[in-house]
Amino acid sequence: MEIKQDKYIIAYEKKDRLVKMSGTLRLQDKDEYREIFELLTKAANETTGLPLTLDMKELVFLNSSGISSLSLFIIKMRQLDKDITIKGSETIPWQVKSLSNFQKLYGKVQIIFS
Amino acid sequence: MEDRVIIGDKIEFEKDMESVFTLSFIPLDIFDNWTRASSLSDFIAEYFGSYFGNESSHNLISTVINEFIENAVKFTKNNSQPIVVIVKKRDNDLICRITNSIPKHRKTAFIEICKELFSEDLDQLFLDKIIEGSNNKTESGIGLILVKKDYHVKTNFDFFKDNNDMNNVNVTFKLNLQ
Repeated sequence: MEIKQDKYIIAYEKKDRLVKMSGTLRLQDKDEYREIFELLTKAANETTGLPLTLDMKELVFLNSSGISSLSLFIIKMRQLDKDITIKGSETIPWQVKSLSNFQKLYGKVQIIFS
Repeated sequence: MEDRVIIGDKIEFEKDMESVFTLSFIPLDIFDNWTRASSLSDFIAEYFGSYFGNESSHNLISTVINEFIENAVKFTKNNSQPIVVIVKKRDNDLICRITNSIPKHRKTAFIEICKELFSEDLDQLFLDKIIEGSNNKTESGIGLILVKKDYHVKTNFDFFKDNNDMNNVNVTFKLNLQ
């Protein structure tokens, strides 16, 4: 399952329990992120026992509306007691500076930088 | 409500600079195609990034400027009145001022948002806004919090009336790129 636009791709690989996010995600508001939120929720619902991995290593930009929408997804995972792993890139400044916010929302979020 | 309200950090904007850049655009163009905000931010980052000689500068500049441009567009009163962006480079700092009109009825709310940035614990404010935002389908309300909390951007908000008695705000911010 994939959401593909000019500036970004969100690809869900069910067998790998993986959602890969790449490109530039700067949509206008949270409502615009709804389709991505729904894809993430579907991926989480289909993942049991092991963590769902969000691979953001190639996500060059994410604006505050995107961080807000992902935060709401993380809160939903906390309510469902789901495990989430986020893979980030230590060469992308916004990730180094802001990914830890997701951990503050839900202590079971694991963040791995490479 | 006073016509002139100033909130935030003291930033020397008029002082001598090594480089200066000015552009203006109408918000309508951004509402028509939201990726134009990103294009503007990337262009400014490309223009100034090479001054700072490290790979992360472009991403940092673009990320921060994009948040302020999106904010200006969302708070503007008149979608056909230009928003003006002035960017200056001084030493290891990028200093930027964005000027836009603001509707009278939103001025009070915006002032309260600005005051919170300088009086509240920002980690807690971030968490509160996320929870609060779960009932709001559009505005995230965390852009200014993130640039201050995660990027340590110095910010100043100057609300004033222009010669046509229209409410405006100068948002001036300084990003250190050392």
